[in-house]
Amino acid sequence: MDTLLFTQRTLKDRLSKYGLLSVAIAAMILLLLYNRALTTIFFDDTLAARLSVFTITELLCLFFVLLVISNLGGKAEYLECKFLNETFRKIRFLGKRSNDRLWNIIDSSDDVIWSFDLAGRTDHYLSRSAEKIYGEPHYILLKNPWFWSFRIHPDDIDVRRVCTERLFETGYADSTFRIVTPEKRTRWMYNRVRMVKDRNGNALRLEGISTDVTYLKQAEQIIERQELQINAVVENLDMAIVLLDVDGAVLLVNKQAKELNRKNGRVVTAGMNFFDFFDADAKAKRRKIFSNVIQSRLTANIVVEHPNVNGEVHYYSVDYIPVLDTMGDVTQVCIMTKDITQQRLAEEELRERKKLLRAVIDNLPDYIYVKDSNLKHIINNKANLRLIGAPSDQDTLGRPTLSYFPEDAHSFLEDDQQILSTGIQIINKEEKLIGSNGRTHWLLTTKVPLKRDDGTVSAIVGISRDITEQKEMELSIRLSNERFKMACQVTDDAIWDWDVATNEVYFGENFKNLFGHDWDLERVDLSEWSRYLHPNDKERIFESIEKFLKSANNSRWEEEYRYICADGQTAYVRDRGLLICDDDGKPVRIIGAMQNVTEIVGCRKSLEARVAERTKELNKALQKEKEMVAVKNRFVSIASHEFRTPLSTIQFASGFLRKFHHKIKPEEINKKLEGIEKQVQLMTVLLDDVLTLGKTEAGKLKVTLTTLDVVELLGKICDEIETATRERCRVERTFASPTLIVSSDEKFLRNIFVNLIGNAVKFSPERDRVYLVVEPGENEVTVRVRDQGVGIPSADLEAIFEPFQRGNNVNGIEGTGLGLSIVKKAVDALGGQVFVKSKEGEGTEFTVKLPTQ
Amino acid sequence: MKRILLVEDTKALAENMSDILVNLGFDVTIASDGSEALGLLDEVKPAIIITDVLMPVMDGLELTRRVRANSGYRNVPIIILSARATDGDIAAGFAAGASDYLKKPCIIEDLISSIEKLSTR
Repeated sequence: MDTLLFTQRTLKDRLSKYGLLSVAIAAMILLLLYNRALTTIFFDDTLAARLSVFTITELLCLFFVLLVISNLGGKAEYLECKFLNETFRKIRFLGKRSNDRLWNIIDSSDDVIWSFDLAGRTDHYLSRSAEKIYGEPHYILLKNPWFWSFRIHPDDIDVRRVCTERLFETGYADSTFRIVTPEKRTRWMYNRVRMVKDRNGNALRLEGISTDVTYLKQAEQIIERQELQINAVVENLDMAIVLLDVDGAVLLVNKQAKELNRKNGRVVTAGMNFFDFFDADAKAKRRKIFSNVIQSRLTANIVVEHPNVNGEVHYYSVDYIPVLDTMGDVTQVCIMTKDITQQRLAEEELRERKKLLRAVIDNLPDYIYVKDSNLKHIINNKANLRLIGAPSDQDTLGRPTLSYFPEDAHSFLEDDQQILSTGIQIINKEEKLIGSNGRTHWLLTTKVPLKRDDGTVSAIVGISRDITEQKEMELSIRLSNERFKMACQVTDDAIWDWDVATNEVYFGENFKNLFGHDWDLERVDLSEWSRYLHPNDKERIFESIEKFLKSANNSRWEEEYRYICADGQTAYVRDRGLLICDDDGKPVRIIGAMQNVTEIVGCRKSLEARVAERTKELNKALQKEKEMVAVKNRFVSIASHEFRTPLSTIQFASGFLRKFHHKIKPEEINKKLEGIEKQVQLMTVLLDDVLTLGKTEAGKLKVTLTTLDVVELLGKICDEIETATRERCRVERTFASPTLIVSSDEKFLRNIFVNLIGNAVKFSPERDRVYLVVEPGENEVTVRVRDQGVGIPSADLEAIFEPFQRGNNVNGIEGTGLGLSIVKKAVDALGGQVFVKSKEGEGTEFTVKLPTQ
Repeated sequence: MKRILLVEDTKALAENMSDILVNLGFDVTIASDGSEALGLLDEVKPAIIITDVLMPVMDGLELTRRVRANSGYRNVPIIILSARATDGDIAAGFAAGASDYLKKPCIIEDLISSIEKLSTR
């Protein structure tokens, strides 16, 4: 109040001295008011600005207005300076005019400007805008200066009371409260009131201005709500946000930013200079970016490493974003900081994986490539680069496929076009091309389209496997297969190839020709084949194969067996096989050939039979030969002895004659010569017997059967013997019939009976009778020759038919020792039997049984 | 007069030899086998024995062994005259104790020289 009064007085002094200045000041006030009026046009847009910038100005204006009003509204009598009266009048006049204009201006204001007289002069003032707000005519309102207190919203009565208290206490108060209009609408009013006092401190007036701030209030509410929302958003963003003005002062900082920029307990807060928060280096760096952003008006981005609260290094992406006003000038800079550690790690991992993937595809022998929709290679693995002779992916990006494979590319491109248009992949297609090295490659290619969301093809991924080797192998296999088939046709054997794992057997065409089975020879099940093995050979062959399968690689197998042909005939087979094992020695397959040896086996069998027969014959002959050699050796040895004795006798006889012929008598000479002759005769008989026996033993004497009369023959022999012994001994003959016709050999019969009857006579020196009995039987004849002579000692009886065996009791009865052996041989040759019965000193009986046919 | 015991089963041969030896001045006794000859030893007391080998009852080799076993006739010369003429036969003869071995047929001079050679010893 003192200040106001002082100002009033000073102003009065100045007005008295500088009346024109007062007018000028009043004009300035008017101008300001005008300005104020202009600004209300932008009320909504620059509310904040008006509030902050113009309130003071307005107050000043108000002050001057009030001053002018107080001067012009009837206080001129206080002015004592007469010198100025005239001027003042003029001013009053001018003031009255201005006052009218001012009222007009004031009345045109939306604010309610009022002045309430407390001095009891009811000199109140109320601007016309009150009508609009309070909804009643101006004069009614002016009659009842307290009208507004009845309109106060019941909830704000307290606000009003507090305000009044403060007013009376301090002389000034402002308050914001609601009023209720007659239309029952609530309006917000901002009321400022000042108490004017006199020098003695008595209250003169209350002056005030009430502004309808309903819109402002509503806007504030909206802003508050929006601020809340924005704050909620800003606080809950995962970004740290700091808003700086162009000087670097922090306007806004969210929770994350505080968290991030916490250092030694200090936190970035609104109002402080952002850059003061950092150390020198970081400060300079950030300032530089900050200035650049302001200058360039472009967003800047940096990535910084920064340990988080746990000391782990995190990566942050920091954006400096310039905030531009409508003129395009930078008014603020927003720093948005985002933790990209995870993202960065993910990126790194992705990069690593890409590298890994690249390494993998680069190290694959297959040709891998990706073509874009223009059919240019955008990605190639190393193998593919080598194949097409391109140094790098960059090279292929600039060149069409055609330039790499001028001869072969057309068919590839056709395929590519087809994939582009149909979106259907191509799988395992065989392709042939000439690579950059000039060699022909066979590829097995799979091409897969990569599709966009709309289903169109964006790229084609191709994987080609090099199957050149396989192809060459196939070719050589086909060739060798053809060769093999021709070989199969050339040979007569049935070639076979048995896969041990599957037990499937391939047979050459000849199998059908040889055995007639009409099978699919490309693939015969082993069991089908073995069904036709001859039952007697099956087990043996199975065992043989089992054993063979256990043998080493390249072992050979050969068996012969019988095999049943389709027509039921049995074929003889010689089967040969070669075992092929894998590296572990496991049998993999056996390759072999079945040879039909039926004819050979037939020939062999008959040959074998003949050989066996011959061998048997030969063995027999050999045995006989051996026996003969033994006999001959023995015979020669004995014969030589038998000859030496008579020769010795002759020798001594002749030696005697030679030595003593001069002194011996002629009759003695005769006797010696007769002795010699007798010895020669004996030797002749011996020689004959030896020859006969020899022939018999050698089988040289053949039996020649003739029909003859045994009785007649035996009679003749008996007569001859009787004559030879000069009838000394007779043969007593007993024949059952006068004739007995048999089929036999006379020569053999003679040998038998000359010896037997002759022996009987010879060894019966004391007797004049021997006996011959012929008994015919059924198909045989029995002849007995019996004597009563010296007999044979039982010790000698056993060997009596052996050559040169003579009884010990022969005592000078001459003989060769061969007779009985000749008898035995002859009887055997005729198929008969001879028996002997004898007792020394009593006689001997020989019985001969001979067949008659 | 020297006595010879001649052992030979072939009568004609024995007689021819005997005739020759008698004419040469020997007293000859003939035995037809080995056992007969052994029986005659003490009666004849021969200065020389001439024997065949192959004979019935007892052969000449057995006779030779028996004579050599008899202390009274151990040193009597024994001439074997045999049709057995192999080297083995001859060796067997000497092994049995024969003083000489003659093979049949032999000329009389060989026999005589053998007798003379043995009797002068």
